[in-house]
Amino acid sequence: MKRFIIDFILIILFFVIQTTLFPMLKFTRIIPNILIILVSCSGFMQGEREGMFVGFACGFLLDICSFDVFGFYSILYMLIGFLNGLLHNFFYLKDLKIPAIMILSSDAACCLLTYFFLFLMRSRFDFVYYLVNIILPEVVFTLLISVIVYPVLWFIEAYIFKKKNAESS
Amino acid sequence: MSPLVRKPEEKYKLPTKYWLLILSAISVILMLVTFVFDIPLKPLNEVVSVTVVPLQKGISIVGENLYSKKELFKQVNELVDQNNKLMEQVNELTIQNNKLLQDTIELNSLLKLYELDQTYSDYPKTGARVISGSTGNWFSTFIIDKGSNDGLQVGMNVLAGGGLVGRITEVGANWSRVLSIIDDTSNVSCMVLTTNDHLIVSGSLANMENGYIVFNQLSENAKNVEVGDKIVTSNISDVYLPGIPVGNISYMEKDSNHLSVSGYITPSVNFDHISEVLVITKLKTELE
Repeated sequence: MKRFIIDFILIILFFVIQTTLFPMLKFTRIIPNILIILVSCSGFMQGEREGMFVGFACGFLLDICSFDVFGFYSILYMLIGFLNGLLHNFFYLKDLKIPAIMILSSDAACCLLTYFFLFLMRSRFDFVYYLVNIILPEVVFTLLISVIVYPVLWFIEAYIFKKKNAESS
Repeated sequence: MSPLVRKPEEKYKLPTKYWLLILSAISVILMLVTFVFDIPLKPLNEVVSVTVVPLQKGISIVGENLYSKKELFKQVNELVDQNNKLMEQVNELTIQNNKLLQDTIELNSLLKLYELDQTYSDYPKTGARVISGSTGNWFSTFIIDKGSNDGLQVGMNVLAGGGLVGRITEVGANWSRVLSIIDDTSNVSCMVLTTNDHLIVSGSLANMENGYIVFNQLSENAKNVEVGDKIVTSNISDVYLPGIPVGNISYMEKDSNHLSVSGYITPSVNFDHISEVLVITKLKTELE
């Protein structure tokens, strides 16, 4: 129950930050995808089940607020959360390399699939342009932001984790 | 401890793979419903009205206040200088204005003679605040803080700073989603103001960075169209009301098929800094 409430709050918070705060701050045109950080992290921190649900919820919100084909982001983010969850066994709280690689590859996969299904399918063939001007900046920016976001998620996870152990013993 | 102490029974949980299948199936069905059959999903929209929109409204109001405070301090000195200059200008302009007023009166009477007096400034409008930008880097949609409670409907036109911004594509109780004309999926039927030649204006992600939107399908026979000509929404569009300014032609070239002309348009709205918009509360379909 506690996990459900915390996940719910995190999803809403991250969504609002991504859609309202980042466009308002206007560092650049490119917005980092912090929802993918949340989905990816809840995947490999909590397992494929949690990752799947968090991914579905995030994708669902994105679907309502962004694009006319409802369900595209839901399924994409759900799969990303699920696949990250399969690597749950490799998760150690102190290791930073694997989370970084996971976030990077999740965001890259998300961007590439978005390009493939929503742009290439409408005959926008100039892949190199989109790669250099949108995908790469977004991935790099997301990785930079994850340096700030990851410790927060890590702290929440460590805190809940400890509590759980205390309750069961 | 006696060996008879039972473990508390765990609650049954549906295995993850079944959840994955169920949720995938739901997504695929929703995709089919919205994409193939084009059915709006009203009840789902209310999820956002309850959860996200109130927070977004709060943040955007606070953010705007902070921003305007900061700007205020910066600008006090500049304002004094500007004020002096402006006072001089006011004198000049008052004289010009008097002259223009006379012209307007004359123009109005002439327009009445031609029964052309309905321009976009006569449409009923309502103001709204932009509370959320686009969700990623691929599409240019944004959320405004008014919805069906304020009488907004899907298809209504959205303006800012005297030019066309886009149209409403989704409405919730207290929010609406606006698809802007610079979005990669947007197409607007327009015409050249001076010659009434029709053309199609499409948003393009690749040209957005340079501040351009693309036009095409201007007939090759339209010889009088020149760079700098004003583009307005056409009267044959089925969603956009006629006569709303879109931008000016900044570059044009003949297509390789020698039948049509295409090029770039500089939009009359600065899409980087939209915080308030006007929604025309009249649909094109109601107009006829």
